[in-house]
Amino acid sequence: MNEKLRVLIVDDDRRMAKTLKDIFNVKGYEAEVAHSGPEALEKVEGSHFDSVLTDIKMPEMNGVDLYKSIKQVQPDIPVVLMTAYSTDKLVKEGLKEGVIATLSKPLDIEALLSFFSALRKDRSIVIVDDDPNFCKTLGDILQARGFAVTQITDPYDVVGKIREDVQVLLLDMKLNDINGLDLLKEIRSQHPHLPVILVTGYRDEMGEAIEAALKISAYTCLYKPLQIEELLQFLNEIHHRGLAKALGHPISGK
Amino acid sequence: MKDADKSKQQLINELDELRQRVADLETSGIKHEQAKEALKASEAKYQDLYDNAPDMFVSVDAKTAKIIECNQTLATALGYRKEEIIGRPIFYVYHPDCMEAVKKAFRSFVQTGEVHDAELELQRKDGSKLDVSLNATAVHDEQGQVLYSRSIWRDISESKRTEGTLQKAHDELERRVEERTAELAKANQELRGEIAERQRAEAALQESELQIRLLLDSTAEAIYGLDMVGNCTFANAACLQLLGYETTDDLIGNNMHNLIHHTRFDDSPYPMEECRIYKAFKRGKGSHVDDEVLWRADGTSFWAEYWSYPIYRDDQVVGSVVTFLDITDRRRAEEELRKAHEKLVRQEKLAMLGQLAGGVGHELRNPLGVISNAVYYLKMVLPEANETVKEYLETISSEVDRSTIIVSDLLDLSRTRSAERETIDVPELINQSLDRNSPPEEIELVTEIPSDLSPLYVDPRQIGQVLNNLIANAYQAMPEGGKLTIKVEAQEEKVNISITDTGCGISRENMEKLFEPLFTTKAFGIGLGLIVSKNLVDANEGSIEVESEEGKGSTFNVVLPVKEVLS
Repeated sequence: MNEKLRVLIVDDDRRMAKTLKDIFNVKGYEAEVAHSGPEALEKVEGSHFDSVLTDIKMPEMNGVDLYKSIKQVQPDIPVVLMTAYSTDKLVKEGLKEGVIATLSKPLDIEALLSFFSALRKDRSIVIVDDDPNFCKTLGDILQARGFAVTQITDPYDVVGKIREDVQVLLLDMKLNDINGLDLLKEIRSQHPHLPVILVTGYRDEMGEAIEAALKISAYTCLYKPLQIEELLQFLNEIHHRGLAKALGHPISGK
Repeated sequence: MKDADKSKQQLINELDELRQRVADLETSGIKHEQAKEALKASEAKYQDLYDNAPDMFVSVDAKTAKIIECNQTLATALGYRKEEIIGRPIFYVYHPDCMEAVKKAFRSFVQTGEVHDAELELQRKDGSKLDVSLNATAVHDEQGQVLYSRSIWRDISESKRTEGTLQKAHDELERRVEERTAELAKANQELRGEIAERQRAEAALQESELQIRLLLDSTAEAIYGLDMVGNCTFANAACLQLLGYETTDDLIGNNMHNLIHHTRFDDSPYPMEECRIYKAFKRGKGSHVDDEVLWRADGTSFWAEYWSYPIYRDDQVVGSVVTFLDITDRRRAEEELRKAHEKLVRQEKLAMLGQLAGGVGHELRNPLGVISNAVYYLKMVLPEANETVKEYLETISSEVDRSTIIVSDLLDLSRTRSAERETIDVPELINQSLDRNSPPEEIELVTEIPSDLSPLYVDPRQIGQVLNNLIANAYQAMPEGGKLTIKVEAQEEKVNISITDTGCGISRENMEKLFEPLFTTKAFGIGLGLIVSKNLVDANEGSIEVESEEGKGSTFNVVLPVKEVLS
């Protein structure tokens, strides 16, 4: 993405909104300001934003209700809540509804900036499967959804091909000669935090290995034939987690 | 012969004779006169004898009973003139009281002609009585008829009086004897009554003594008596029982202070001169104490409440009676009550503080947020600013951070959020906290974490915050550097995380206030970190304790529950 990331800042405290806008502008983002929920909603309906940063406690419409309304217009938009109040009920509700995170004021600007840069990055995925056809078809689908896809069919050349900035890895548990579990362990040693989704066509045979894999923090296990929507849902979840992590809030979505 | 015839001689003779006659006559006249004179003298003499005799003479006509004659003695004795009495009936001078006796005497006189020693009473003219004895004889006529009486009254009032006095004395004596006898009889009666009464009283006393003994032995209060030197004179059953003695012989005669009161609760000696029981009764006063211990026969002690009172006998203190109770349970209950009360007060204080803190904290966050943004902006757009400007911006920035921490503590305090507990590994929690609080260069970090720990069941954010607080505190306690040791030990269904610094330590005095809100020894910070930590640990069913030695360092032990094993 070459164009500037567009961020909408919503806060009834005008100075808060303005200082944030000024910072983000200087940092090379296109920041807009709204001072109420309805005003923000109007702006979201009028144009595309890459992210919305909204205060929770505002007159007329609170931040969580605003998020719910925004979701109607633009379902996947990453929204971050900010609050000066520990109104747990709203924070909890917001997280449940799918906001990325809740930040407390005063804001950690560095965390926000790293969040934005994470947003700006392409979503990248590595597919490891000895079946080139599987790689190809899935790769095409994901590419069409805006992912940068790396396909690896040679199980002996996996670790070397994983770039540092890769966000998620899809691993077939049943490769030619190599044990998927061993491979996973090898990947873990190099990339301890890389989310890995396991894929297998042999639900029953692989049971034990899968269990062992999940224990060393494989994200989940999917079965062939893949349900693309299910996969995309997990990918979104992982994406959210990554974004939340950028904000310094490793909040589990569970 | 005619005169002429008579011779001269004859005449002379006759004359002589006449002359002789005249002389004779004269002599006889003289003699007569003399006789008359003698008679007169005799009569006067007898009249005097009659009138002035010591006894009263009276003559009474036997026929008329009238007084014919009486002497002056009588008249005088009765206060009459003679003429007033003579002619009156004899009854006139008798006192009406003895009239019967008089009549009787009179009748007897008329018949027999005499009366002997009849005691009668006369009545004086003034009405008063005169006791007399009457003796009378009769004067008869030629025919032997009684004409009148010759009565003599002798005044016997003196002898009567003497006799009366004698009688009186006699009577008095008799009376007194009677009286005395009656008195003696009464005294005897009384004595008998008294003896019976005394026997009854003795029986009652025995009964009452038994009653008192029973009362004393049945009461839950222990009671013992002391003499003036503090030796036991008495002890009831409860006293023996509470003190663990078999019989009163174990106590009686022994110095009670030395036996049961010799040592204070902190094992320091308690000399008798300082004993509050002893001191009080020496001054004739009582005492009431509920903060001392008494010692049992087996050498153990218990908290007691006691009352002592001086015993007075005839305004003189002769000893003291002491009542005591074992108040161990009560003290425990009181202690619990006090703790509960303190907790309540603390909670109320916290709730109030929380409300205020919440309100203030929230409102401060917005302006702090704006300041923080503004500083960030300035730092960003002024990369070339001179060092002073940069330093000032840095100052603002760090002050905002500090303020933010204070506000966060305030908000944590006011937060009533319950713990959202989940299973979390101990090393993960500790590492996260250490990531956020990396040790300064001069502090050495040592961790001792076993690998086989069960995961905790706590709110990771809350406990993470607790660890953050404790680790940050530990760093602050070691401004000159030192060693931070984080040691984890598995306990039964719990895990103990101890955080030990080698810093300044906590004084004994401060130790007590450590978990009180707003208590701090730091130059900055408002003293909420530990109370917040305690609240958070409490909310996760854990406990937090501190050991510290001033100058050597402190250890905070956080004990947290592990995930219950599902059965």
